[in-house]
Amino acid sequence: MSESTPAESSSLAALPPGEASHSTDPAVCRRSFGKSAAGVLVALAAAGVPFATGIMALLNPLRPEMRAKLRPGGSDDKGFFRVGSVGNIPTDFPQAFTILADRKDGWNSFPSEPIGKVFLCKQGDKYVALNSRCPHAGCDVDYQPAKSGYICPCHDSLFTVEGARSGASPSPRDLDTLDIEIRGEEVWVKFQNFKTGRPDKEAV
Amino acid sequence: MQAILSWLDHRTGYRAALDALLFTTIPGGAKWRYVWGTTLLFGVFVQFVTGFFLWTAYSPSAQTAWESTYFIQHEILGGWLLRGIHHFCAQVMVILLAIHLIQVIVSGAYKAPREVNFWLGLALLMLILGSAFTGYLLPWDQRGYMATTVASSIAGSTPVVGSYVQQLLLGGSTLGNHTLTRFFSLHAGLLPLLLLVVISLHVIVGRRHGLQTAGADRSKDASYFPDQFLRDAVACLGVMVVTIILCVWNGTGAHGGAHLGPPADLTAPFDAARPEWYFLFLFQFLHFFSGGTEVIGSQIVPGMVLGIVALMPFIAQWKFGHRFNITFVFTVLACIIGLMSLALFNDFATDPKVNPHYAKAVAFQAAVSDSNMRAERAVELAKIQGIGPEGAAALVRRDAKVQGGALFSRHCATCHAYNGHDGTGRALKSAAVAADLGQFGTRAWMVGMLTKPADDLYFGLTRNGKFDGKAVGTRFTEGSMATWVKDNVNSGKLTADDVKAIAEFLVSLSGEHVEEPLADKALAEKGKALFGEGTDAAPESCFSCHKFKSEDAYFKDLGDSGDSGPDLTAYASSRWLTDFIKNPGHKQFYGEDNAMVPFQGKLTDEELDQIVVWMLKRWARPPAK
Repeated sequence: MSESTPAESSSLAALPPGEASHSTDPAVCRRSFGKSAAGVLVALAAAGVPFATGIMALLNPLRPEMRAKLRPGGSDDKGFFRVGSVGNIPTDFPQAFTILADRKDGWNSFPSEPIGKVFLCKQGDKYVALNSRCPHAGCDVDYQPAKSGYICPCHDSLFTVEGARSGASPSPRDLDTLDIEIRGEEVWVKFQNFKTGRPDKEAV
Repeated sequence: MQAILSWLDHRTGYRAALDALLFTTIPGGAKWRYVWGTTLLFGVFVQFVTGFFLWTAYSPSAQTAWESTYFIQHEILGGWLLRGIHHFCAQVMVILLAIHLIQVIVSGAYKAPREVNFWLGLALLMLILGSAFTGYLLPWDQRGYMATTVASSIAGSTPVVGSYVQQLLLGGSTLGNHTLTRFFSLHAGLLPLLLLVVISLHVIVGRRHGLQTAGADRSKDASYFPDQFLRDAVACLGVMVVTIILCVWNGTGAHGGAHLGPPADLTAPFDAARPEWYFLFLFQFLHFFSGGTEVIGSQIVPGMVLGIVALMPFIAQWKFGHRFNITFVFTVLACIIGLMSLALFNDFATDPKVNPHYAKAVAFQAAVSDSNMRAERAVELAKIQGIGPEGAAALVRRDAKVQGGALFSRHCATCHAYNGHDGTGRALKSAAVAADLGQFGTRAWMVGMLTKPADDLYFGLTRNGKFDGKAVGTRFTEGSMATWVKDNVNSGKLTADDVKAIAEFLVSLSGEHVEEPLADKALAEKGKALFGEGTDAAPESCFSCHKFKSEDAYFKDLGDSGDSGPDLTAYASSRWLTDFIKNPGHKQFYGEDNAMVPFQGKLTDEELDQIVVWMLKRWARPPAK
């Protein structure tokens, strides 16, 4: 090319607004509208692809397959975990047991790691299992013998030994009871976490 | 609505800004050749968007970088496309950069008064290449790991400051967690920020000078919007389409998209190391510099070339300067393309007629396919077994499918071939002097042993071997097995069906070879009878040499066998193979005839197990669907 050709680098480096006419001829206007619309649509299509792909990836945690894949392993078919033997369950005075499971965290698997805590106790001939997470905001409640109940360290929700709310508790529902099965000498608990901050008990 | 916009305009002046952006005058009207700068801007935009979303799923550490990239690639819906767009858009941008730069030089747009903008453009070039270099490491696969090791070593060879530069770049003396955190902060932090700043300056300064016409173009001027805008938009969409085609076309494994090599492992051999294609010319260039002088090729020459390009606006003031500049840039381009082609030729021309050094190309191709096997296996293992806290490299290190072949190559391939190669797909380093074990334990192996044991695939090559310093000679090729086959099989005393039956019986002894269908019971029974008693025509049965340790009543009833040949109890089972490899000279195997090194104590139990599992193809597999 010779030096008489236009010097160019990028159209974005065009001259400041000048004399380019906004035509008033209707035919030119129509053609110009068509070009404008086409230009905007094409630009949106080009720019939309990376956004759409990214947002699809960002929404990944909501996919049921992904949730199923990341659910802890090590339970039986019905979702029960073995927590101990009958002889270890105290009467009337609840004790915390750790649930061990194959924890999955994104791309990693951690065999046999704690995934939560349950309080177990025998009341009469009935076994009670409570998830230690407070239904209010998810803090870890603890049993206080002096109050004969569970106290949440965050907002002072108070629960009876059966898990019922007691007094003016900020918690919207009672402590979450968990299904418990005695299989021979073994104690199995269907460990689940529930959504916090709402009156109904819905599994996470 | 109008009122709100007017209110906003009054406070921000956005209308004037928008007008300035969209209705600037393009002298001579819209042109397709003006689109290149905008496509680059679009490329940066795509990298920012996809980069942000990748960031939401990526974790930079030696135990999580490959693993989170694997998760993006194989577990996140559309993750392969997201990563693919980010990867391939970067490749497309390199080409766009070249086009833009050449166009600027050829059209003279670098000359006064646009010097500063030209330098800003060169800065952008370096920033984009820097982003590409830092991004290549982030998946923490073998390719990125090795490429960065090599590149940082080259930086380390710079006189005086090299070693400090290298350590600062890597965050230590070797690649590791700190290399990833540093590279990631550069790739996703500092470099994008600088890109933003320099791009803004590039556009602002560019608008100050505008697109200058030198009078030749007499077309009517037009505003940027809508004509040029439409052209720019179409060009950007074109970039996007090319990127997506590259994504889908470059299918690896279950998805298309960018390649993910095997997880980085310092202890794993990796001979398929190459930089990205746009740095291949440098890679090839360095071949021309002998030890101690590579700093000339890696830094001095590229630095001088870049220096001349930066000085082009001044060179252009000289009478023939502009022509010199154009000649120079095309010469450099030709050199780059030439070097790149040479590098590709050296790696891909495996035809001896074309490439005198074809053996190196063959070796490179074998290395690449071994690396791909490891990469696919790593993904498969991550899916079957899950990745533990120690990361995916550990999965691969423990895996029999990967390690079995590598161990075979190291310990067995000095004598044995495996389907003609060394167990990893590479050529044998020295000619085989023993059986090719690629088919060991299959029906084909049994039939071969029973029909042509003196063939090269079986005992044939032992003729050339030495054991304990003495030639093995014809001990096997003319030994009792070969003689028996000549007398009983090749003579036709035993029919092909008889041989098939005996082979079936031998397969049924372990049935452990995973890729062989289970034995046909009736046929195996027939083979068993033939094995034990022979036929009227061939009364000298297998059992007269090969015995069984088991309390198999059938063979017990036949009386005591001879024991000159290997005991075939559970022949070709893991147990049999393990015992055999440990001590082939034991009297239950070859006894005094043995010509193989005993591996007892030379291999750990784990290594032996990996070899045996690999030979019988018994590695972990995904559950059948």
